[in-house]
Amino acid sequence: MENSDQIILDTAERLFSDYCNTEVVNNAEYGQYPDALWRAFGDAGLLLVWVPESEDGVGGSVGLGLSLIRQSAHFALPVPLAEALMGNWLLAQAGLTSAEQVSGFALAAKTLPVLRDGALHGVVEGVAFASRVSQLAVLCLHDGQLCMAVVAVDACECSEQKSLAGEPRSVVSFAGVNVLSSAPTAAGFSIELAFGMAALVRAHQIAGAMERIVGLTVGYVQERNQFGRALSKFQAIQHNVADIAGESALANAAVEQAARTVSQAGCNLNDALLAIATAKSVTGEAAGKVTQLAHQAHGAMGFSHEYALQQYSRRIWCWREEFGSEFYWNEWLGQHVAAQAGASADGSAWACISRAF
Amino acid sequence: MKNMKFSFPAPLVDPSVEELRLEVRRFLEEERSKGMFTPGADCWCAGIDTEFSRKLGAKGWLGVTWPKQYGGQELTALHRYAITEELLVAGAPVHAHWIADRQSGPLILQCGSEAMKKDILPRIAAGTCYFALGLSEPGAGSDLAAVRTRAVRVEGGWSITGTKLWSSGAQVCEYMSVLARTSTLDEKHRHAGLTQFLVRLDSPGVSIRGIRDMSGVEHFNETNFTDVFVPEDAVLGEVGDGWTQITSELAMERSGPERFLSTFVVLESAFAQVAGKTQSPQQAAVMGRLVARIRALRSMSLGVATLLNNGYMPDVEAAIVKELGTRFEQELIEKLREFWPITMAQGGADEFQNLLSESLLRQPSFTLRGGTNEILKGIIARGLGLR
Repeated sequence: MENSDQIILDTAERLFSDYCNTEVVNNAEYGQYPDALWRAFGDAGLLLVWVPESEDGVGGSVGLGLSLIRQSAHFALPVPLAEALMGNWLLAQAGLTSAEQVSGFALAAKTLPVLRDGALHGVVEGVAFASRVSQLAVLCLHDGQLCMAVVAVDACECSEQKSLAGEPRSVVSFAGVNVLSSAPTAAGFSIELAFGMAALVRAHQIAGAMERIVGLTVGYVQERNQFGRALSKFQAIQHNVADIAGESALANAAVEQAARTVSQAGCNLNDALLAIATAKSVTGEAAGKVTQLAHQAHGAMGFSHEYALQQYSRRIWCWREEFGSEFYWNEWLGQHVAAQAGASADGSAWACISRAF
Repeated sequence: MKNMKFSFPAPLVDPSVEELRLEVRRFLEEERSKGMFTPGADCWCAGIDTEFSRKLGAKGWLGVTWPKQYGGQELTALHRYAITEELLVAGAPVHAHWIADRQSGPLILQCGSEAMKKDILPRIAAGTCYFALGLSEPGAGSDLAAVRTRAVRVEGGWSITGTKLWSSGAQVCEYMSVLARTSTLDEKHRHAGLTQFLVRLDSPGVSIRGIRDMSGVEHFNETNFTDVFVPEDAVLGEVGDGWTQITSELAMERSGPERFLSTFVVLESAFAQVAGKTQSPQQAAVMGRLVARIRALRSMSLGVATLLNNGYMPDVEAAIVKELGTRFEQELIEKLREFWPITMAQGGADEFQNLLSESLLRQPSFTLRGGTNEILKGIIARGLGLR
């Protein structure tokens, strides 16, 4: 980690602490959007981490952005920090970043929208925070080539609903929307890489949220007394907390590994996806186990809306499905390793599995 | 508001580590194709082949991190890690020398006499001198402080009397490191007054009886000591320091690849079964999930090795690796049986079925040996401040 990177993360931590708490997150769910928080992030340049320096951005590494995203999940930030970073990352693949506008992104899971004569046609589901950004980066096809387009949110048809966590998720329809700009993506870019990167972002959010859940749970069981002693003195509770910590640690190891792998110069697509699949699979599976055990340790208090735990569990239940659940990525891994192992007479699963470390 | 952050740094990998890894892999492939060994599950606990151990020693692949003056290669922990992984995933018969190489040698290096180091370490590195662990007793398993084997001072040394149980490989071993009580038990300080001794298993008064485990393997042993004399320099480290030695040993070996790769050879074989065939999405997902868990466990394990290398004592992280890893080793079999049912004992014509059976019959031991998972969870909880 560079010194300048740590300064950015420390600045972010201060802003997160100053502007965001349990009440802010709950209020955001019920209509009180934290504008001051969002402005403060923008003013501090946090949204520009993945905008190249040549475009007046921070020019931060992939690792820095992912660390920032993971850190932001400690606070259950009810603003599209992760989406803005991802939007800029996608735009940078086509040389379209701008330090002026905040972009979210629309990444289709199956059928990409089509760009024809400067107008976009298609539908993308599950677009996060569309109503809170001014434009969207949209991966699309133009004459059969991969292309990045920028559209104004106002020009699109957005059917918005609330996610499990009360955050905006929209079905965005592009009915011949004129794009603000577009460009082909760089050679070597692929739908798989875009999808994988989005999955890695979500994996980091899950990992960050789980770190907070472990902290909440440890704090709660140390404070709460029943039967004349703290909950933490009961072996059943100790073992549950150990299980939570174990899954969180495993998830951290996986996302940290994946961040390192995708950051390596010359990392090929398969190695990147191998590491990403590992991260999304492990965090997705951990999400279920950690939330179940954390809620169990918290008793009724954890089931209340007022207490912070639900802000994290509801978010990770949504994030674990997005850009491929663990079921999707497990299947990819099984097929990929089988193909590699069977590719040659002396091919082995181990040779493939031990790659990209 | 506290965050519990576990972080796993990447090891700085020297190209020589990967070269060594590939050299070991090639050697094992050759040995296997020449029929020198059949891949076995849980090979580090089940496969005794003293000739094979000698071959590894001749290659310079045992005691690799030790000083050259004691027969070592002065390589790094990562070199050892790579060798260990390749042996495990190949299912090579490495049980005979495993304990000696992994912990007895380092123990002697740390607190043995100079004479002991000169005599014993080169022979461990040569793959000809094997060690067993004398820790558990009929009345002391998880509660190791309850050991009753007693060592009393006699002229010129000590006399040891007691019974040790579950010592694996003792029947081929030259030595056993024996944990004995040298001071009367003080209930308020249960861990005090314990000492480790280096005992020659051919000493008068030692009798060894094999114990067959439920997988049919008879490597476990009951070892009885009746007034067994050991010289003064058989004391490892300081008298009364046994508990500290044991617990620091445990931290080092708790997070190695043998804590999650014991059944990998079965997964490798399963991928060989599906080669060239169309997998159902379900089968691909089940096997892919196992791949994801192994990769993540490996990241954690390598991270702990790096932290240890950098002078940290990641007790909680190490315990997590073993707790999750050993349960994973069991889970691997439980998941694969969905596609390959397991009903028959080993010894049949189908090698893959043999691996499945052998693993299943041995899997109860994975979460018991070297510290049960319940004990490990207690260690994790303590590390988090709950105890």
